[in-house]
Amino acid sequence: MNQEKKEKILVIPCSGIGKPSGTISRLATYYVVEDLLPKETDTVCLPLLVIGDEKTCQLVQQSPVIAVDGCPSKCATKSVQASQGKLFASLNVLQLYRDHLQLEVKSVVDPGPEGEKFARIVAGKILEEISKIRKEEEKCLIPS
Amino acid sequence: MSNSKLVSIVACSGEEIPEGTVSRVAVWKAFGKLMSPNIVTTCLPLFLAGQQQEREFVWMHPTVTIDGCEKRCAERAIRKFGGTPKATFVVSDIEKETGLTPKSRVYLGEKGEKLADIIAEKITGEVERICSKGNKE
Repeated sequence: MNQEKKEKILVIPCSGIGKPSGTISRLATYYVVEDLLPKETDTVCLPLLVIGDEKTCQLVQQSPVIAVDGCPSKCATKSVQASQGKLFASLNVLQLYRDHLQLEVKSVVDPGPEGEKFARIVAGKILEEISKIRKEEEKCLIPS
Repeated sequence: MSNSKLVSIVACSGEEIPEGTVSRVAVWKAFGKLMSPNIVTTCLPLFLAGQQQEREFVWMHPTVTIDGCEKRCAERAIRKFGGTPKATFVVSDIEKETGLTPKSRVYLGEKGEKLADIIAEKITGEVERICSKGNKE
């Protein structure tokens, strides 16, 4: 498949302001969309999606979406579903943290070096989901 | 101080733009400045997703919104679900006024941090004003 023909994958973090896990979801998303795969991925404002902004709703309906939630309320996942978005995967930072409890996430504003390290681990999980999406897309192109 | 003086702060936190990052950093700077148990952040996505507890809190207490851009998601959301913000701030407006532009969505840079400081001052002033007047005005 040509790079140009690939749809951009949307990564949507919850960005919850009350918990450091919201910050981790946001930071992990930026690692992917800004540093690792800027040409293949993008993000949109979750509040814009939830208030029903037409352009944002269209985007999540047309592109595969990976939601990255910070808490069990799963706002990002639920909002994509409510907008009839193409939700491909849903990651939960708190669940992922269970395997990395030794890393200290400092605070909402400054997650600290270990928090940043954990955000990079979450970014790795996002990349795994992106690979799955690309494999699915390739399968669709192979004639049966 | 009684619970009746709690003030809810709602930041847009928009992921798409650096101003969304400024909004959340400004809120936390205001928290640091005030060191007050009277201010509470409300998670906008949770509020929008229909979490009853978040909505009731906003109905019952004065709210200050901080939006990143002219789309004003935070302010619109509060009004849509029956709240009336006591004060509203839009980061992009203050950015134009001050000429301070954040560097990126991840790293605000010197100017972005200064912009967040200015907005934090505004939030702090507003919260102090609301608290001094009381909630039942």
